[in-house]
Amino acid sequence: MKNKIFLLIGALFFSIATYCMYLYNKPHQEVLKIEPELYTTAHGLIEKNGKTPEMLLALLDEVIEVSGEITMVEKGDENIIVILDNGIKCELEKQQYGQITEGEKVKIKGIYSGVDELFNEISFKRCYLIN
Amino acid sequence: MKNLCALSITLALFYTGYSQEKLKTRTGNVTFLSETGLEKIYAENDQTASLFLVEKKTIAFNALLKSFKFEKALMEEHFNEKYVHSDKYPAAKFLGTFEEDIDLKKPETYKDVTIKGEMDFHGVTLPLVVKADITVIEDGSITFVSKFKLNLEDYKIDVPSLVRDKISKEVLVSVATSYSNNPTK
Repeated sequence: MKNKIFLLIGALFFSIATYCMYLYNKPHQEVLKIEPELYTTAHGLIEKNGKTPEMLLALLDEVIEVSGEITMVEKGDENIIVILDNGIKCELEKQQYGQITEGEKVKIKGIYSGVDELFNEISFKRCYLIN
Repeated sequence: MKNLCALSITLALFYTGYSQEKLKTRTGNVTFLSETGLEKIYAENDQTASLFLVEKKTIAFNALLKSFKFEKALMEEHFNEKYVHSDKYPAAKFLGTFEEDIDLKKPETYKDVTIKGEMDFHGVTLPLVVKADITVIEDGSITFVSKFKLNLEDYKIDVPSLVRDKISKEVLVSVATSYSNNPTK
């Protein structure tokens, strides 16, 4: 009987430890594999932010797919930022650093991370070009 | 809260209001490091927005807290939800000026320039003085590098006693930005 109790307690501790290890090491969201919470255009999102900014709050941390025209590409030392329709800022993941040109119409999938007040741009991280 | 609004409005005015030479970047690098004997926590934000008003000797930063990237997803989650409450206080902002008589048209490195300003973080606005190295490059672009410490208690960031040994009271913040006349290079 005692052995059974020890075995049960051991199994319980092992399960808890395994779960904690899983939580501690759980991977980041795989943006490409996640169904977007919202499919929208850059214009639509900019308009939404202008009229009802509180609605965007509910989308924080969600994966969104945005289509629009690249109006600016800014290359940093460590990354590339793409601006869609002068109002959506997307930080591309490193493997996306191919040929990106201004004026190109693209679809980008990324995680919404808030509005940058300095340049009034809607910001995305971990972005991928879809087409 | 009033201070926070004032700083936000001032930042917005700096962007829209001045016609003088205005260098800007969206690819500013801001990192922070908390290191104790038990754990090292490091995060990086490579999309910090920044504006440098050359004639006004004024510099502004706006780092969205959700844009900080951690090695571990759980750390990123805890940082946003339990410590900095980024849904409520989405950004860390700094607005500062320097008085040193340096020529930002002439290629040179100016070491330990004193920047005096205000930092708004986690709903608390406090004066902050930092040292920075400012380098003017021949093509007219400017780099800005600074390291300073932030005391978490000063910004009302509560660290639960259970993890107090794992998170340092002061975090080391590093800022490195490059303002190019032609950021698309």
